Amino acid sequence: MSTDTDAAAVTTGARAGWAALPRRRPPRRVPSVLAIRSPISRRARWILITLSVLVPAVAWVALSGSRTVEPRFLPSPRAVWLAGVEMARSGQLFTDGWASIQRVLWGFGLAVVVSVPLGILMGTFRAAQSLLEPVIGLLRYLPASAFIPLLILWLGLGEPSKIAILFIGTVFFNTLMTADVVRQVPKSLIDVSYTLGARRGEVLRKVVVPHSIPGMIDAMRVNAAAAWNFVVVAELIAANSGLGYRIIRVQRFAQTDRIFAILVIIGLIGLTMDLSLRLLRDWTGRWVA
Amino acid sequence: MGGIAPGVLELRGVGKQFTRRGEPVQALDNIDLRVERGEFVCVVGASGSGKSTLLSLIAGLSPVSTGQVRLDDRPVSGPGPDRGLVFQSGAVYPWRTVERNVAFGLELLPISRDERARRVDWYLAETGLTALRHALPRQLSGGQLQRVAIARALACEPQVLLLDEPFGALDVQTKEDMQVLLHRIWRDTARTVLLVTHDVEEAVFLSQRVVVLACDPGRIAADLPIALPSDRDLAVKRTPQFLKLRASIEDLVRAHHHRHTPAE
Repeated sequence: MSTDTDAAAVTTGARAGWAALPRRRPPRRVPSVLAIRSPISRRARWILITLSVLVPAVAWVALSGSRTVEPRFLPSPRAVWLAGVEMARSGQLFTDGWASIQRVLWGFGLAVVVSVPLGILMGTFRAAQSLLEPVIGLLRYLPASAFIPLLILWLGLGEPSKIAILFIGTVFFNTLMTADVVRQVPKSLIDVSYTLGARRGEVLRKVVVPHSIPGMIDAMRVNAAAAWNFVVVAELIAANSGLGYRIIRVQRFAQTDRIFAILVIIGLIGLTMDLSLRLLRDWTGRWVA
Repeated sequence: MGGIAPGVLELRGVGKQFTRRGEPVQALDNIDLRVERGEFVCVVGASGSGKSTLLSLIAGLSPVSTGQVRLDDRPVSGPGPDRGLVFQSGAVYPWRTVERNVAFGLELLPISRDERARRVDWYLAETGLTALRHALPRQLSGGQLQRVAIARALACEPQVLLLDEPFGALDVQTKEDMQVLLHRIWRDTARTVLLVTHDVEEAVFLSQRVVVLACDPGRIAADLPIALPSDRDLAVKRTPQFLKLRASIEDLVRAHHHRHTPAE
């Protein structure tokens, strides 16, 4: 290398003949609410949480109070509250709510009982994966609601057909999601267990399952929400009890205030279900970093 | 200590090949190695020399293609508690507390609760984890996690303790603390130990013998006794004898590493 290239390299920090790299202006500083993944202040957080509830509520009050929309289409919050209280007083809300909850417990409960062992098998044994994944991957894309006519033909109008819809709607998703969770158990944990003397069944029981429990509960949370949707759909079509059935009933008398009250109840029950599963997940997943 | 005696580990003509994208790859070729009862041997080599593959063959986590691994003159196949393994990542069970991690192997054996507790207590004390016994792994530092992994492997009284770059992810100070700790544990428990590392200083400090692996395919390039006093502390790393051994082994590793890398 000649001496003048060396000198050039020292002064510009680059090889001779290279243009200096352009530099961009440093970015504008942004407030923490707009910075990626940046924590926000307590105050900002509470303001945003309040807004998220308050804005729709105020919009509802304003819209129904201004009389621009007929009360028959959009009842006022007060009318909805009174309708809800009346339905609660007559006991109707509880019998319907309990009927829907029972169906979810049965349908989704059965789906969990079937999908968790299947998912564990698929996540653990390549053979089970090869055998089951293609067919389950296909079946899960068949919409459960499309099975309603068929299930009524097969199982009649009673409880079994509704429970079957919930089951079909959630079992395939929950199986695949459980299998994914189980596949994430680190290979090193399984290997080290064998070197500590564990047998196959012990590895499954003492390593694979405990590692997967919080993830499996997360999968159940997602699918419990789907089950809660399906039960209302199932009851809209053929039922004589349940919250979905009640919506259809009161619609015939154009009691929109009651429809709204039932919708609120459906939302509240769903939220409670999700919160309890989240608590369970957090409790079983205390060890997750 | 009573318990199970340390074992003699012997590799006879061990080779391993596997296929990568349809091409056969010879990872290890014709390895003959004997680790005596209670001996501490380190295997050093550059990355790609098949060090970790060698340990997984001995642990029985993957099958040998040729040759045989023997423990106390019996061929071994498949993993078992007679060959304890410590991973670089620790592979500590995150949902179990420190003491329940250490107890894992003992829980599988028909021994009383008291007997199990007594042994767990001893290994926790030996590795300096007694105060952390109820902690969860997520609360531990890297060095503490490795101590859990070592205590857990030792609690099963393995005839051979295998360690795969156990301190590779630790900072220098913690790494040296761990080396001193491992040296003391080896003297206290009289186990046969085979440790794999790319850190020549670590190998010289810990072992009675250093085996150098050459790359591509992995094979034994040298097998050198380390004639340092068996009772060592960190000061030994500054003695001329240590530095000379370290330099000559580093040269060997480098020579066998560069043979197959293209010239710059």
